[in-house]
Amino acid sequence: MIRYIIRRIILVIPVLLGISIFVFMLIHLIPGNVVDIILGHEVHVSAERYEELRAMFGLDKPLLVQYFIWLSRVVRGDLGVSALTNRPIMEDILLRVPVTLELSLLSFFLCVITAIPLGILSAYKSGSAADAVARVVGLLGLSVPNFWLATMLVLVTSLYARFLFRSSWVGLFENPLENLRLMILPSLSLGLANAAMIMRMTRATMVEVMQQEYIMTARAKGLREKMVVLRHALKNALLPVVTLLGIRLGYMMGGAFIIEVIFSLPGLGTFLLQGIYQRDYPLVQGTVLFIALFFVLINLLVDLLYAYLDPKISYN
Amino acid sequence: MTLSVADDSPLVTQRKRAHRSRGFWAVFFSRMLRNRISMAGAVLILAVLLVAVLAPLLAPYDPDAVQIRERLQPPSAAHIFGTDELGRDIASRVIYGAQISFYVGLISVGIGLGVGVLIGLIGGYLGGVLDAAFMLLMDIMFAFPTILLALTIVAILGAGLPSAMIAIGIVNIPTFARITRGSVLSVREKDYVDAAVVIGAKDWRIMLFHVLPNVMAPIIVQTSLGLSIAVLTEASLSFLGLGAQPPTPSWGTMLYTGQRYIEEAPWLSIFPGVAILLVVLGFNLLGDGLREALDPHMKG
Repeated sequence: MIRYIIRRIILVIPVLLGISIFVFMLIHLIPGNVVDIILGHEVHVSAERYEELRAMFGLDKPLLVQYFIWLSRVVRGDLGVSALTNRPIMEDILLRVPVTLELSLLSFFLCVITAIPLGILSAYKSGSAADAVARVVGLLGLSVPNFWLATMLVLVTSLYARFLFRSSWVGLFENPLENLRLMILPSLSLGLANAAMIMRMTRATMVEVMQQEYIMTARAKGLREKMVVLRHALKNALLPVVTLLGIRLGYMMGGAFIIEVIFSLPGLGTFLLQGIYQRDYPLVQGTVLFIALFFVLINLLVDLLYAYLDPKISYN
Repeated sequence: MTLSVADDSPLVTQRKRAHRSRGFWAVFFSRMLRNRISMAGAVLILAVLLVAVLAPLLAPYDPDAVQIRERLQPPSAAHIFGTDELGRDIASRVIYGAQISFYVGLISVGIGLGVGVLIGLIGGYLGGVLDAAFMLLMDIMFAFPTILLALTIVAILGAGLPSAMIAIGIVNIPTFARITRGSVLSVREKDYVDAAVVIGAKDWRIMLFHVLPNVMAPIIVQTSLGLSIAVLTEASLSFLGLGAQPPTPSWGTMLYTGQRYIEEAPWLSIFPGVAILLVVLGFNLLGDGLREALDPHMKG
């Protein structure tokens, strides 16, 4: 197992290097000079300011040297400073991570408590009217754009549940109840589309498992149906679902942009978009790198968890 | 009473021969026609496609015609979906929006399909260092959530519909590459490929005429699902102001504007959203149905 973990971690290294090269190249791939673009909105630009920005990006050095200087800073947790506010990017990211993390975890929780029971029920009643309804709801959930769902939820609650609105952000530790009230709509919007995906996966694997011979054997032994479903079928059907859940958690972390914008949540997504709108490329570079690394880390953890849970995976 | 026929009976052999001689596309269409889910999706997509093609005939008004005195009118006989903040007819804009969605979907999935299938085919068939390099590149692209990669590419290229299409196309590449490569790896070991090698066929010929036709099923399924992702991603980018720019009647841009008037004029948001939902649902149904029809293991 230890050897498998080491091998899996080693396999991540080239991907991490690739990500770092792509993110580093971001400011070089922009058509035109990044310094000119950043200074585009400033009317009077002094030569010192221009040179300061050039030096900040290391543009006066060869590309390879620039990359290694940048990488050595990144490895030490220094993502540079914002071109507009001059604030350290890492500091701002760390301020915003808890918001995105909370939104993702709440959506994830909603996903798990709705999707898995519905998936099991749908598979157990496979072919029935309830199953057909669940499948249609699943497909609808998968097809509805989460930002439209968010807008519709805003519309419905503005008519019937205005108490769910609040104009300004309140942190979880500042006022937990207020914070949760504020997070209900965003997490519902983000969670439902993902719940549809998890439900479909749970249903598909459960249907497959329920046709296996060991389920027939369990029934033939006279086990109660509840035991057959929960102890024998579910345990085996959940393995691929766990993988998908992990992947979706990563996607929720890295894909909550629109939901954060709609509900004005001060998370990583809003931060990145602000950087894109204002052409603050160091900020974009730092945030994209942070989210991508987080995503890779979650995927790695899911892989390791899967290997731990599934005895069929070979460690050699 | 059931009739059982032995596998090697003349009847089964005759059917197998007839099945083979019909070719991939004939089998594909007959299975698709028999699958209710894929047919529901196909009908839905065809209906929206028809609306897109016939937009100049179907739209009651010019989608860009501004009539300030008519602004924010609720749905009525004159404007069945109401009007927007500039008095433009929403129904006409939703109808023309279908053109944008199909246009973006086809171009971007075309990019993803073309490049991805090429990478998967060459990498999977030739193997070795080239394959390892291709797959590492795909792994790196997979390391970014779809919308993050699309946003990053748009940040590089600048906002606008062409950038959005390129971004969505690039985002689609790794999925097509992985799916093609996976199928190529199993087809590569088949006897008919060995036979082609033995008679001295060139690699490109084997890939194009012997391998590619036999890995088409999963690619077709992914094309349908890729189109649904493309429509959703374009709408998301436009909603964020990074895709189609005003006054282009993109559904995402319409939703972005609608959000500001959600309480006083919800029809601005309802109809473009339903249009996105229908198209994405259509492609998802088609993809799901095709997967069931083409892959017997997925039935259940």
